[in-house]
Amino acid sequence: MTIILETSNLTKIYGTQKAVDNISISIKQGDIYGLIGRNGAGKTTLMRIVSGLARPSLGEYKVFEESDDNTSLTRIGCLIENTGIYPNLTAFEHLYLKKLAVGIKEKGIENKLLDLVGLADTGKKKVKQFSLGMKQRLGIALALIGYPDLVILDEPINGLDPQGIVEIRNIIEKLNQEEGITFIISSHILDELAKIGTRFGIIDRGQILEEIDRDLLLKKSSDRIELQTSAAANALPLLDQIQIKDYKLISDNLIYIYDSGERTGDISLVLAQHSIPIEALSIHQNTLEDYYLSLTGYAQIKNMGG
Amino acid sequence: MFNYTCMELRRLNKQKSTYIILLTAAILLFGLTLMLNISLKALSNLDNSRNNSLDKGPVTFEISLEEQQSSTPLTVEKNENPDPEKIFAESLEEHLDGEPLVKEDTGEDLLLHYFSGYSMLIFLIIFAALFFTAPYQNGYVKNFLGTTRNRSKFVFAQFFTGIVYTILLFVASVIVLLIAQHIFLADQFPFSDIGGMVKTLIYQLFAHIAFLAILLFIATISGKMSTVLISSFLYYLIGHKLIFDLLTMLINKVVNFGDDWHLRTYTVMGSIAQFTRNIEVKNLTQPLLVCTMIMIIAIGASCFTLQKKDI
Repeated sequence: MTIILETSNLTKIYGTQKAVDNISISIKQGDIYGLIGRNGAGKTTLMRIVSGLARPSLGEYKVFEESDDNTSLTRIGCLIENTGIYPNLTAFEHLYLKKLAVGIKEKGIENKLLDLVGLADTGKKKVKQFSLGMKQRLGIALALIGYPDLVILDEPINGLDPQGIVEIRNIIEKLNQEEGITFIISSHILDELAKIGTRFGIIDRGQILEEIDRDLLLKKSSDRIELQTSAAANALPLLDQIQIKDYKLISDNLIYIYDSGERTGDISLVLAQHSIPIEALSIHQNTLEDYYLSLTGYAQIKNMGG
Repeated sequence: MFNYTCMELRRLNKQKSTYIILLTAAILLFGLTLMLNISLKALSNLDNSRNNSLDKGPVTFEISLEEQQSSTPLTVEKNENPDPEKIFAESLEEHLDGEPLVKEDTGEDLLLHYFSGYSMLIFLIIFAALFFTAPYQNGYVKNFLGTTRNRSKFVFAQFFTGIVYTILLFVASVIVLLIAQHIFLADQFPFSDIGGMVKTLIYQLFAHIAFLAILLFIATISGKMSTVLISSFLYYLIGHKLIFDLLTMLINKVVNFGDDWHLRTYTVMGSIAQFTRNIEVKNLTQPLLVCTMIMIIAIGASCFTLQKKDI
């Protein structure tokens, strides 16, 4: 598939601090690329650079297989940090201004987009009277003016209610599948990101720790059965006996069995038949959050929290 | 640039402050002309009473404090016959900045005093602080500035919109002043040289646009309304005189350019003060050149700043 965005050793230095440090990523057309990282990890800076709002200190990036100096950037829409709005104008007027700025001639595009993001009934209501969620929706609509090929959304579901989150998720999925729009999305709500992302980049201290496809992530964070027994070594041949091959001996009394939870009955039966005591048998489900925490080394924070 | 200009003109049209500033300017100028009329009537009454009364000469009061302390009596002269010409000029100065008017001045001179006296700059400062900084302050630039590699287009669009507004402000102010002067001061200040007035107003407009370019630069570099307001008003009220008087004094100590030379004449505000109806053609070159140079530098600096700036 066509590479839509490619960065090469992208670096942004503020004073003595590297906000983005030597990042090289590639995003394919049609991807929903989830950028995962804590506050200050460099997500927003990276997004600002690729959306043309900030200049890299070092390195380069190519959008649509063209050099950044020649690209028609009108093919990129973005919502970076909080939505940029004039408090005394209406949602329609905001979209109209953006339409004028990028030279879109299509009539009625404003109402179409307002309808898409669920702001069709705002009428003459000034944006200063909007809730945070409504402002986010307007920001997404502004990013979608002209139906760009690449949309960059920084924390798009911030401040949205659960229903709003689902609606925005559906909009993104719809535009991705029907219009073929590529998305780069950052979010702190990792489970939500996991639901729509097709590829993920985990960023920490300005560096990309790992880029991973959705399928591989699911495999890596797949369910596991945790077996606690005082005779772990004796239990391993029995697992082989019942055709369970994917397991790992973690300690003298702990085995991780990478299999679905449906085999717990078989496991307990065979261990009981051979008089191997079972201290605990539980199903552990890994999440994107667990994966992120284990990769960044912040897993202890979660464990401290209980 | 055309697209951005359309956007900025639309925003200009949609913002309430656009109309509020124009309305405030109109009310203020009308009110000042009315107040001037009232002051002149009072002076006229004073003049009449003076003519009707006898010249009694100075009245002398002898105030004896204590004979032991002072052998010379204190004398206060109370002049019952003040010079109306002097009071007239002082009265006008209360209303207008710049050079005082004299009774022989025409309607054109009175009208132009509002422009050469920096009154319009107040409205331009408020407009620039509100309009030029809004896209940065509210973050709206993030929505479209990433779609171009040449951000100068946006600077030019803002400047062009600012020029349109300055012309609107000038036209509205001139119309209001013409009406007000026709109603209140038609007898005292008749119009005789409309062509000369229009020509001077065009020079003034040019100088005011140059000042607007400086305001645009401050707005682009800071992106904050408060910074534009505070810095501009400080410069307008005290900085302009203080800075350039000090610099002139210092330069004159190093190189003697003569008593008539003043650094302030090489500034936009200095040029605004020079553009009067009586300015000679040979003296036009310098202020026009100063305004042009400052305008080009300010716009160039704005373009450079925005091009290098991270949004």
